[in-house]
Amino acid sequence: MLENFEANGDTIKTEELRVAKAVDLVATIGKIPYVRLVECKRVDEQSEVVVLEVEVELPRIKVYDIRRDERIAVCFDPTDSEQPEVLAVRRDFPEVPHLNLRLFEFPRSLCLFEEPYEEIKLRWTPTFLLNRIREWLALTAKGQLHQDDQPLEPLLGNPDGNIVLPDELFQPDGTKIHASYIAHRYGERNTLIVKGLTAESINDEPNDKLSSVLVLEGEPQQHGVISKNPRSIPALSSLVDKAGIHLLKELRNRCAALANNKPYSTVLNSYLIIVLILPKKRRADRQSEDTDTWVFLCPHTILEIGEKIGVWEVRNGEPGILLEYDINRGGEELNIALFKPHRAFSQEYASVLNGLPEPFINTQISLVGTGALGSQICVNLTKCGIGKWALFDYDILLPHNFARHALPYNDFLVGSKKVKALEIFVNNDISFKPIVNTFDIDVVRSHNSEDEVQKSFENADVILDCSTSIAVARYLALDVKTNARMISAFLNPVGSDLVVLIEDKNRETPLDLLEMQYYRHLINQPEYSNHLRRPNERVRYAIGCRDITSRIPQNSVAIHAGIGSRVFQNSLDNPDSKIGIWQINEQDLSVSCDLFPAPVLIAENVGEWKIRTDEALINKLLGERNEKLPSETGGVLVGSFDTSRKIVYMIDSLSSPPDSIEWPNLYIRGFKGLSEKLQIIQQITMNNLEYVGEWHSHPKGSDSRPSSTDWQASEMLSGIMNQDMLPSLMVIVGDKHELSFVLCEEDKVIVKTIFC
Amino acid sequence: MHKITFFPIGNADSYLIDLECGRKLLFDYANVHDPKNEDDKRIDLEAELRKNLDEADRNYLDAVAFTHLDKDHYHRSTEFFYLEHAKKYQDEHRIKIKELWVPAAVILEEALTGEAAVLRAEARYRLKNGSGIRVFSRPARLQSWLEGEGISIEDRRHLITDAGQIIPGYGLADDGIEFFVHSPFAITQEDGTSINRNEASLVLQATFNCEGELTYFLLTADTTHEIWKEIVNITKYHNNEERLKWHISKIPHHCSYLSLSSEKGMDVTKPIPEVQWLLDHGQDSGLLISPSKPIPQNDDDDQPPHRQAANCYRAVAAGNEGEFKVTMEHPSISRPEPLVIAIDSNGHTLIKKTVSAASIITSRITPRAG
Repeated sequence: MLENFEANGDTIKTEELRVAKAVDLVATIGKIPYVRLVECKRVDEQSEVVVLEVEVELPRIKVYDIRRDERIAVCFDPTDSEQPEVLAVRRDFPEVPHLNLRLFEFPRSLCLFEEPYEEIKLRWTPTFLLNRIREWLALTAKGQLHQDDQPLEPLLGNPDGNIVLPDELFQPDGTKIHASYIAHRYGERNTLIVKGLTAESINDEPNDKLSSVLVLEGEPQQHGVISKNPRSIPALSSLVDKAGIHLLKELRNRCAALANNKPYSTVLNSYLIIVLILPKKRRADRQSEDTDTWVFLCPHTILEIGEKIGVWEVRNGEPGILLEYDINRGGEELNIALFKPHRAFSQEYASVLNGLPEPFINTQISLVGTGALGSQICVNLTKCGIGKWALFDYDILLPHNFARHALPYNDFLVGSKKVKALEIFVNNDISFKPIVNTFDIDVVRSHNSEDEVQKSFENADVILDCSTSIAVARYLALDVKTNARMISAFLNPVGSDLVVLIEDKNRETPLDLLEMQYYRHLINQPEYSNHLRRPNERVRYAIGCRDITSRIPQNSVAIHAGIGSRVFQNSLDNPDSKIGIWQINEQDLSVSCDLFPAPVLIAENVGEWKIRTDEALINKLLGERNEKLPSETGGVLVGSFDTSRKIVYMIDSLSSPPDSIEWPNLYIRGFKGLSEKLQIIQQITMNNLEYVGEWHSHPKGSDSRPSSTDWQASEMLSGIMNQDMLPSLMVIVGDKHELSFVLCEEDKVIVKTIFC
Repeated sequence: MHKITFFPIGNADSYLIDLECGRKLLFDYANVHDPKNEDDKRIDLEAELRKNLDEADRNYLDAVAFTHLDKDHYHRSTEFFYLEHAKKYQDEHRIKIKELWVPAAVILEEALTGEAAVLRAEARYRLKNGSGIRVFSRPARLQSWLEGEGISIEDRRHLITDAGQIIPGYGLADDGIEFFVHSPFAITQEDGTSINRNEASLVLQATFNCEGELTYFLLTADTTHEIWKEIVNITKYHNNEERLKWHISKIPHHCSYLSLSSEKGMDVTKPIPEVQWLLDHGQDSGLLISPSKPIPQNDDDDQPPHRQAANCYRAVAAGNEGEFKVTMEHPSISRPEPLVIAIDSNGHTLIKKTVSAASIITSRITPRAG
């Protein structure tokens, strides 16, 4: 036998070639190395074939038997509408990955390009083709051409249709495979969807839209099994024999079982779909690593099929089982069509498609607040396959919400609870299984009254606060008993900026402190002077005095919801606390990011009050004392009172006013410019930061205990603060990082000393 | 991945080993390219090496070996390298040599002029200095030369490697390479006053390691069949046959028949038995590289390459599914390019890249435009 297949057609001289790409190819051969022309042919007075020999860059150690000199036939379509087919004409060219599936196995057809021919045409040159052929052969020789997730089998060019298969049919572990499946066809589409068989599914569907599905699993193969496109049941049967699948036997047994299992009329009138699960392994000595899945539709009813393969005779439309299978009937008349399998959409598949690790699927997320930002972040994350969710919101959907809410407008939704509407949308349209739980309550008012609510917070891995309410954030941070990490995301009033406050995994920087640190950042960075300003115009959507809503464009919310979801997702992998502010530049629409770490909480109980501050402020005070030594210095403390919880947040200090007296044994705080500064702070933070107390330093060699003058000063301060029913606070910084809090409320003075 | 690059420079030797660990070793240097001759297809070696070093952001080579002092192995090297022994070779553009490798003959040979004398001065300077050099073999005359300089051979022993030893500083585990020294061995330099350079030249076997896959490379200088006979016999005597295994072999002396036998033969040179044994010791897909002009069709020129020798090597290549390649024919006689061999866990691969038209145009000066 000849070493090579003979190309079809009549041999012609090179100058007789007419197809432009063939002419170009021949002209190039001879000008570049590693390619030799063998001959040219013309088939049926139309298509032209250029046979050439290429020299392959071969390694010493080969995975596939590619030879240094390979003979290749390039077949050109005269109209250039089809990509030139490239055939390896050596008779024993091995079965390798990335071959095209043809009706005949030989000569093998190389699958050179992933893109459609129209795209490749744009940069087509003969050298481009030749280089790709040589590269394809060189990479194949090394076994490096295909990626691990690509099939071993030849590649499917034009399937007869598409079919969507459930997840389990793509897993190498077959234990989850259902006993029976049926395929549904919706409308006139050439796409089938396969689902596990249930009693309802078989009765609900009109017969002509149903197909019965036979799933067969082969033995693990190192090489492909489907080496050509089979067009009939016997042709397929002989191919899959290699993988230990006895197709006809399986079909006969299945038909016989069906006939014995009444009522079967629906099944007998359905078409047959054969799903082949072919486990593959990269090397002979390895376990199977993955599976290739192939699907064939046999457009004959089971009734016909059973007859054609010798299981029964059909009389009056009823099968009459033969005593023995008639093995002479091999189903030659039963043609089949090749369908391209697709994995059904699921949360698991979504996380694969989003490039995420699977454990995020089971992260328990409690989302508080399902308005515009909350709903959009929730949809973004569930579309990535992230999370099992508990949604908290007592609000209802009203027409004005739909401008920016994730849910599309629908009369049925108006007036319904936001959480319920979102639950139905996510469970039905994104995850296809219940991953969302809802609580239509006001979390602050419910105040742990419901066990279910408390349990949900306890079980959460993360609590995401999108409530845009300081009261809610404070409540979550301070009153909810949970180890769940908290993340708060909100927009500034005009919607140009997104703020995300992220607790660390151990909650050493809790959400309420993060809020204060965020305000501190605003007052110290000039670019945030207008960050919290209210929009000039707001829209009144009803007649109540609180029935106003902001004019924020949906595209800003979408940008921020995108960023917010990604920040949330990234934080699942990162244990640190952080504060981030993203600002959209209204001119060029670029987004700037200001992301900074948040120092841990320092909390002290002083009498009935709790002082909450952080290292950053304490270090600032220590630093200012050192700088001014041997003199004393001091200033005003900025923060916030939470009177309902008796908390003083101490977050920043204002430097000593210029008219202060700073002597080695005395500090008298001046007041020049002080009230203006405090006014600006209140403006920038929308009154969230204010005056909370005084501080001063003691000289070298002195501790931080209050001196007699300090006692007097404290009493004086207390007299004034008490008129607002607030305590007075004085902080004294002494040697050796010693710090005393002097808190005075209604003539009661309490001193607490700590070392930092 | 390791890489060996043979440069197309006619009947002259120069090849570079680029190790995966980043170290670079050059064997011989002969920049014979004539910039005034438009038809000269020999590559500008200096430019090629500079390109390689620039890409690695380097101004030095880890080792430069001069296998022996014949002009086709050192031509214009004193214009390219930074030489430590004299100021005039020390401008900042010159390429530094971390370790100079020479056979002892380079130190000892007397009647040298021109560049050979400059290289000898450099080798002597480094040896006297006691650093940046490795000398191969230790004939008695090296000892007396050192003593004449007031240095004992013991003080320089760490800089001297004998035949049968592994070159220190390179290991299979850390660097992915090991060099075994076959020649020079002491006896070749004991015959009277004159030294036969080819006989005293540096012959090595390099073993590359890539994820446990070993690839052998014979570095053969201009070895004659007489010396091969000695090398093969000594190697067999010491049961060191492994050390003559090869997947890649540089063909000695630009494909001269004298490296195979004293007889050229009509159409095929028949090697002496020892050389035949060596050629048969080639492994699967053995690559035989002839650093030479294209193989002639006739015998008009006495000088190598000899077509009879080439036919002998071709037959060897055909026997082990290997290849016989000529530097000035690769990939084509009309446009020779550096011949690159990649070495990785798939063994060796002779790279057969084609160059795009645009990159050809942009890698050379354009013809004059009026």
